[in-house]
Amino acid sequence: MVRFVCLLTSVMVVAGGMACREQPAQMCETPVEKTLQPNSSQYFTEITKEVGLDFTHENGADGSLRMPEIMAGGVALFDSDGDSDLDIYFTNGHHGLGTRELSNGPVNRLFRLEDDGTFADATEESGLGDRGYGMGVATGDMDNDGDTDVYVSNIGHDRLYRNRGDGTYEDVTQSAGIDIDGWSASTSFLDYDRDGYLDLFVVRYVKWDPKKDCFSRSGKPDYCGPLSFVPDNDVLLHNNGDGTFTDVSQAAGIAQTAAAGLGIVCEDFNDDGWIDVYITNDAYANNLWINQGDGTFLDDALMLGAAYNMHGHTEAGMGLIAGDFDNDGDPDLFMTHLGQESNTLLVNNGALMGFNDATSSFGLGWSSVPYTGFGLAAFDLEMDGDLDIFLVNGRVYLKEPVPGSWVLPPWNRMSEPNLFYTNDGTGKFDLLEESVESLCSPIEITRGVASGDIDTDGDVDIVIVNLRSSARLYRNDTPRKGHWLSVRAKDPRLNRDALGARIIITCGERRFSRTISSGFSYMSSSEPQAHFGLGPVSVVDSIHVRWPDGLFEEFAAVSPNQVVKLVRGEGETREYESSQRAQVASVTSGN
Amino acid sequence: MSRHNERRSRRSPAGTDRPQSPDAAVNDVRSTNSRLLLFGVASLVIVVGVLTVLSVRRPRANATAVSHPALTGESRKPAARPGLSPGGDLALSPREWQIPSPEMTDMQPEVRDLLIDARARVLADPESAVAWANLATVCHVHKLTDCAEICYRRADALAPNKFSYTYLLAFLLDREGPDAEEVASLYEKAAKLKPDYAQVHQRLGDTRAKQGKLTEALDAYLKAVELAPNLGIAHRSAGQTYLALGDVPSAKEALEHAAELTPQDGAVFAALSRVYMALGDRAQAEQAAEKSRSLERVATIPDPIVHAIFSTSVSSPVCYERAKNLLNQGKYAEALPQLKIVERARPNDALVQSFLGSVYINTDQLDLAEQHLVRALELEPERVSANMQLGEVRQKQGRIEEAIAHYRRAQQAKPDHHDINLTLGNALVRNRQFADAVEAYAGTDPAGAVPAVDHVFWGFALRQTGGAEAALEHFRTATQLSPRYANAHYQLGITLEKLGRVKEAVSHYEEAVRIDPNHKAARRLAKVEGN
Repeated sequence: MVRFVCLLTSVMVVAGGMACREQPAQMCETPVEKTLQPNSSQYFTEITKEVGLDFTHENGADGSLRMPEIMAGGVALFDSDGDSDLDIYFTNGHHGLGTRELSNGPVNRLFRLEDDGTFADATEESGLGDRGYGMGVATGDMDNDGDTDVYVSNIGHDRLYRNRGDGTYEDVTQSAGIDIDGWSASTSFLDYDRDGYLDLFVVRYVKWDPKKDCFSRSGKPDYCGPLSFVPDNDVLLHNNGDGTFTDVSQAAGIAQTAAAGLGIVCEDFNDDGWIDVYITNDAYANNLWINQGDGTFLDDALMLGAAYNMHGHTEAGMGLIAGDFDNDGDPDLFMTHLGQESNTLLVNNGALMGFNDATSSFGLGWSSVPYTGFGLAAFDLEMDGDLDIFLVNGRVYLKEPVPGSWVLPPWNRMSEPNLFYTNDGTGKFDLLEESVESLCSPIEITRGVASGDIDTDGDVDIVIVNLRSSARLYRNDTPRKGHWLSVRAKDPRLNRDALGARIIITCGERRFSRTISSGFSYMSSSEPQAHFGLGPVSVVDSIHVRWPDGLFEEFAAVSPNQVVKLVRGEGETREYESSQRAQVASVTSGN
Repeated sequence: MSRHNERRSRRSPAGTDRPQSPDAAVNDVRSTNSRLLLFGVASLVIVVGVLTVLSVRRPRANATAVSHPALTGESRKPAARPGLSPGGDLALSPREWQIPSPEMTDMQPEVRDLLIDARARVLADPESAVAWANLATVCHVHKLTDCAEICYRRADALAPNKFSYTYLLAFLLDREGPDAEEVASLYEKAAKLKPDYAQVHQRLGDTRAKQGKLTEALDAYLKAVELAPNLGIAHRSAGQTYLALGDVPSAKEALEHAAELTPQDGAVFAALSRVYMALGDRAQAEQAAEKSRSLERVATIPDPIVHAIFSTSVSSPVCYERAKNLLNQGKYAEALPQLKIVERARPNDALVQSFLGSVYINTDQLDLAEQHLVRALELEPERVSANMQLGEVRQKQGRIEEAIAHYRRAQQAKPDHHDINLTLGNALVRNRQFADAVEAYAGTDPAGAVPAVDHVFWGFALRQTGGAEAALEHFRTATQLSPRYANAHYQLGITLEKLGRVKEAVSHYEEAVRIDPNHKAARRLAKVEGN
């Protein structure tokens, strides 16, 4: 397959925009073109136009300052048609916000990666042109038939699309028994009951009232915040294995909490072999739903130090990611917040020991205070053996115009640059500046981020969604300081990626832990692959997989710089017992 | 001795029990702002004209400068902003300084008027630190951040030893970022200017904590504790910092002390929950977590200076919150001017109209209450509170059937609401619809509180529909809840008499008469005794 590694390094960036219909002139100016000069020292090269990716998010703003306009914009990177490459799916808004779906107008859009390295709009033929006012997207194989299905969260009715196996989709929302109306946000597939079928956790925001007017402190009309509305409770949909889902929110114990949720990650935070769920809530305490192993969850966020920041304050939780930022083998949490709050890093102290707010000591605090963060990705940029962080920003209130904004008034009052932090491996993050200028300098209103190795060259590429301007695709060209390994974990009995599988690799004295996950960031879904930067190692001594049902399996040594597909049953297996954490440590340290 | 105590004992014993009083200059600002509200629109045309002429003297310096290094090639440490750096614009003479001119389009008129007046005062005397500080606070409390920053800096330049200017500039920048070191140094300067103001040390601690300098943060919190031993939030912050530093015993001590001082602070119990978990006591951790959840409140720094400037805000969202608090405290007359400001900004907000209705009901202005509640229901016919309040107005106007209609509409929206069902039941009793009333009472929560008077209504409805035995219980409960309630005794007597228990009835008639010698129970008593 011809890949687009050779695509142009000089980039013309266009901040495009949708045609203006029935909108006050101020709210729908034609966007301007912006150009960044090509620069070979850049770690990322924007290739949006070169690969034919032509998507501009439409939020349907008409000057009424309706809150969903500024919250939307998800993106998914997944293989929609079974050709083993990553396609891109965008959620989209429309002009009928508050009036349900429109028979025409903007729709969600799918772009398929073609053999020549370009993307082709396959929205119509795929059947994924959802007409709801789109918020987020989740991807996963809900029927274990070997292809990826799509869940779209909306303002209005959510939709579930089943992949027919030929790259076309059918709307099975009704037949699946799914009836979720209102304002859904990020969503993730997970197998919480370990029955082999992927369930769905739908994060819910607020009961939005389009008639509600809000004002800034200077008394000017402005967008409402979450506290202007009644918060909604999240929904857990149990996959019955026969194409239908049952709403088990009440029985699972999550329905009792209503808290303006936006972000989600599903991970085994307490290392007991059962997948837990962490939710970022906007202006409410976050939830850490600990899986009790019996179909129920308990919110232990407060006791485990994961509900608030260090000062005990709730923050405006937006995007979210889990990753082993301190290289100690367990998943930490990093989340983005409103301006005037910092983003927050919660370091996992180990099973039952809870989390510590380590934001400032890791250097992630003050630099984020001026910005309102949304989507994010964590991967090893330089392949030096630690997780770095890319995050996108954009305000949710109208403030003073930002000089150098790439979007026209009034949207320049909400645009902000993006941020890239590199991890030095010792618990210290630094903002990367000149070398990521192409990625971070477009001052736009960015929301969704998805990550994956689109050009299969071993590093992680990025796609972002901007409100009212072009989505952007960035090819990662970062000089490498070490080797890499990508791991996909497949369970042949289930015929799909093993979402939730934890991959632990050992290279000499070092060990690395990542989890196969697609649901993180903000309203977005990424490639379900565990990517490892390894540093200067010549061999990966061993790979251990803890499968989602608890089975622990060891695979033989491999060479770095390749994508390894691990198939359950082909390694050396044994039961994963209750002293998991010690076991993982002992196994991975070779004792 | 724990580390917490050790560190505290190293401090000077000289401390105060309470935060210091606000700086006098802030009071000046506050009273000035009150007067400025009266300045009014009359001056607007003249002032705008003058400001327009003056504002073109120099390029504007009030734009936000999120100077992104990727665009500018500068380091992420923020560059000096035009017009903001001490070495830049401040080097000019005060008369050459440019006065910030925030965009006023669509601005709430009350805010705009304050702003225009505050600018006019600076224009009149550009060398007056008080005038600059006044404009700074107007901008600050209405979230015109760049304007506030410029003005605080200029006030600070004109009066470098004025604590409140330095302190408020630090407080403003603290929230905006990104130069933590400048914020910390401003707080340190402020602390030197007013060393006994505990709050400045508390805020310095917060800044140091945000910088990741936890040991310095702890020192600042402990200094705040030393200066104000009863400042609960300082103990809480010290406890949270000990926890972050891994000193669990000191964290426990500090947080338990904070819990005693500020038992309503949910954040204290959240941190205590973590402490108990760290100590392996899950049961106590759960108890603290539950307590934290039930409180929902995180104590903020009780800071008279900050409170004084923010109390001058006339922005409608602030007035709205203020009005809600006043209504909750039953201060209806005080809530009214706040609500009037909100109403001007949000004329079509049913809740605001409903609040106004509530104010007028509680100040016995039924016509005005009616007017606002009718409007609320035009905007949102199903709004429960407006239906209930308009029902109350109608009832007071003697229009009982209309009142019942409103109560019923509220009940349809919330069929299981205890108080709505009680109120509806009472109104139906008044309208002699006893069976309907019994049905409404059946919708109340068995565990819900029922006042004595409502028990009497309920009992009356039951008795009228043939349920004398059941009625008896309600009347008896009413007498137990309110032993001096003559009518409850009277109704209990009637019911007992009806059930043939004349002797018991007589004792309750007698009790009613004892309580109120003019009660009609006297006639009933005479009749029974006459028989």
